[in-house]
This record gives sequence, structure tokens and C-alpha cells, in this order.
Amino acid sequence: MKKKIISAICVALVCFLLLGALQALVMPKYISNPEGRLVGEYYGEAGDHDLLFLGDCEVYESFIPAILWEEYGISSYVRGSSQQLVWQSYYLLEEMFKKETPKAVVFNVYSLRYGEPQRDSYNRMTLDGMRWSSSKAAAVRASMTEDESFIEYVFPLLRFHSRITELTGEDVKYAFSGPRVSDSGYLMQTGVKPMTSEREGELLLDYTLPETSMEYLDMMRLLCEEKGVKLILSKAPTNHWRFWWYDEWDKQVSDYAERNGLEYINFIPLSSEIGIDWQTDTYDAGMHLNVYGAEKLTRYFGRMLVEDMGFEDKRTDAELSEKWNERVRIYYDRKTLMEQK
Amino acid sequence: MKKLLALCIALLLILSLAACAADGDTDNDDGKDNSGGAAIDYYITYNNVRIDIGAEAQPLISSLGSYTVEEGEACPGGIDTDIYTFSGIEIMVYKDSAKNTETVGKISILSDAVSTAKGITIGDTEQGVTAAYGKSYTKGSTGALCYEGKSSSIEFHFTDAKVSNIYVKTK
Repeated sequence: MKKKIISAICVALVCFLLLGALQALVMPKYISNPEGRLVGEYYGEAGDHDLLFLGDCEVYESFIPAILWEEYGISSYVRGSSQQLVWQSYYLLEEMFKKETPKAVVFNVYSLRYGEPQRDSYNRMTLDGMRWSSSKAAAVRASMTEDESFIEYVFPLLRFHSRITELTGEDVKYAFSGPRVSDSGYLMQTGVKPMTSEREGELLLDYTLPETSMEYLDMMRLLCEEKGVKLILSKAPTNHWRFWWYDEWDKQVSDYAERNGLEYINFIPLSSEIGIDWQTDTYDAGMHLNVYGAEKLTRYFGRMLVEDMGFEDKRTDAELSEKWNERVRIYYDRKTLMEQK
Repeated sequence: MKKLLALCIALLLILSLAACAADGDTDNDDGKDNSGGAAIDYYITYNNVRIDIGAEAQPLISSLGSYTVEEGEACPGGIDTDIYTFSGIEIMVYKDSAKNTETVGKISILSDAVSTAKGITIGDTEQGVTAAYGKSYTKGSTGALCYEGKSSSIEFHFTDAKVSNIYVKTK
């Protein structure tokens, strides 16, 4: 009897390991689309940040922690992901507050336009990188599209098993660990593709920002308040017809910020003052900034943080400096390498 | 022991093959939809070519004459959109790399030389729109009228009480 029990346990263990290996093999590795690796990279640097950024692609293509440190001695991290929805930002923030308490959080407001889950592939790029916790479980529940189920997040093998026929060498190579793709959450792009279109966003039936997204914004505000953290709302300077920021939305966010005593910085009208040249500072015709535009924006914002919001220069902290000097070095190495390609 | 192992492997296979079901979402409602009351045609005829929402884009584009194109990439994981501008209409093409498809996602009427399948064009009145399309619409906060089908919709936007923009699009 005892022998049978031991056998059964052994078999169960073997199955468990096989399933785990199979799952690791079929999960997307996000090597050519590195955006899917961003959320998970945070855990390697969690803690010691004075500033955290949250939001969609507009944050991870706009703000560079290495520059904030190098120029102003501000320790920061960008926890952005492709089309990160506001409830995902909320639960990511909840999770990060379990690991650290920054001085301020910057939330990029573009995602407020979405009141409901959009697409399974975007959900996956944000949620699969989160470690399991009550925050992740809540984020999954809030994010699932009609075609998704919770169990597929618990066992991603159920979602990705069909990739078994499409596996490549990369899937084997990066089954258990992959390369670091970001610099403290900033995803570098060195390409240049000038903005040529002057088209504006299409007309909408209703310009009211969805109730759900405003509710989560309010939850984020309360969470920050509870932790004594300053919440800063920002809109990246990009304004392409594909991702248009309407004046009506801007007014709603401005009014919300004013009502609640929050800082709201819309960088769109400031882009000339920042020095952004839409012929050279974007890699995709104006939808996102490239590294040259992001460096300009980060320097401008860093100055605001120091001069208007009282951020301290931490470069005298030897331990922190050591970590950050290494990150700055990696940032410039990556930049040189990417420029040479 | 062997039986138990075989059983476990079988379970493992079943588990990994589960949830394989229905993946193909058919989005085209054959250009017609009766769910809003009066039958609505979600297509435009341009240069004698019928353009349906959800139709494969490239054969249509090349049959409609000269155009200019503007690219609108999505963030990775999303759907890229290109806008093809012809004389009188714009066609927004959704490029879904995951499904390897390029389909007509939206048609905008730009001039009164082109009209909807029910004959409404730029400059018509709201009464003209409701006479053609009926009263089963949603009115946006801007005063625009939207007729929604199962997977497509048609929107009429107004400036100075006249139709200024018409969008036929996938929902």
C-alpha cells in the first residue's frame, strides 16, 4: 500500500514537471515583440524608487529612468505595457505598493479612453508577466474578454497549447529565462520615421470617458492617498490620429485633477517647448517617441520634478549610485549597439 | 505503475489539448442586418464596386482607382490600420497579423458624390436620415445618430443640422 502511494506521488510529480516544462515551452517568449516582457522585468529592480510610472506604450516609450538618474539623481521605474488598461495599472500599483512606497506615481491618462477589455493578446502582455498574488487574480478578473477564462491564466498551457506546432529555437532557448529587454522599464527605439500626417482623430458619438475607467482612476488616487504618495497624471506629447487625445477628454481629466488637487501635465501643447522635432524624434511617424525624443521629454520632466515638486537628488547615496551607475552604463551600451544596427 | 503513468500522460495530453474550440469569429454579416428594426445595408458602392465591411481589402483597394495611403501601426499585439483615401471616400483597413488578414474596417464618405446604400450623403438632413434608416438609432451626446447591427454600424454626424460625416464601420 505504502509503495503504491509513493508510486502515485512520483507519477504525479513527473506529470507536474512535464506539464510545467511543456507550459514553459509553449508560452510566448516576446523576443521579437519585447513589450510582453516589460511587466515581469520589474521584479528584478523592485524597491528603492522615488518615482513609478504606470500606463500604456506612451510611458514605456517616453520616460527614461537612466536619464532621470544621470541628470537629476531620481530613482524611478516605468511599469508600462502595451495598451495597459486603467484597471491593470491599478492592480499593478497595488502590487508595487506591497514592495515599495515611492514619493510619487505618474499615470499616463490615454488608457482612460477604454472602458472595457479590448484584446486577449494585450491582456496577456500585461498579465502573464505579473507574479501570482491577490492583485494579479483581481487584475485577471477585471481584464478578461468574453473569450477568455480565468483557468487559462492559471494554466497558460490551456491558452497556448496550439503553439506546440509553431515552436522555434527561441522557445527552447528562452523557455525558462529570457534576455532583459528594457532599461528600468523603458523600451528603447532608435529608429527615425518622420511624422507626415496632419490628420486628426475621427469623430466620436460620445466624448465622455467611460465610467469604469474613471472609477479605477479614483481607486488609484485613493490608494496613493492612503500610502501618502503623490499621484501625477500625464499625457505623453504624442498625438497621432490613430491614438488621438481629444480636447473633450483633456477637459475631463483636467477637471478631475483640479477637483482632487492632483497635478495633470498634458505634454502635447508643450512639445515645442520640450524641443521635440516630429521629423527626427519619433520612430513610427508620430505615434511614439524614439530615444532622442524620450531623452528630451525626460530631461524636461526631470527639471519639473526637481524644481516644482521637490524631488531630491540621491546621487550622494553610495549604494543607490552604484546600482544606478551600472544601469546608466547598460542604457548607453544598448543605445550604441542599437544605433550601430 | 505503468498503467498509472499511462493514465497520467493521457490526462496531460487531454489537458493540453483542451480549450481548443471555436477560434474563428465570423464578423461579416453579409452586409445586412435586421436587428435594428429596418434592414440596414452596411456597404457602400463606389465606382460600381460594392465595398462591404469585413471584406478582404486588397482586391477591393486595387479595383477602386487611385488613392493615397496613411499608415497607423498599433502597439505590438494590436491591429494595424491603414487609411486609403480615394476621391470621395476613405477606407480604413484593419491588418491583423495574428490572423494574417486585411479587412475593410471602416468606410468614411467624404463628399456628396458618394452616398450610402440607402442614398444618404453629405449635406442631407436628420429627417432624411431617419426617413431612410428608421427610428431605431442611438443618439450620441454630440447629436450624431448611430444604427447598430450585430457586427457593423453606421454613424451620421451633423454640423449645422446637415450630415457632415458618415462612417460605416465594424463594431
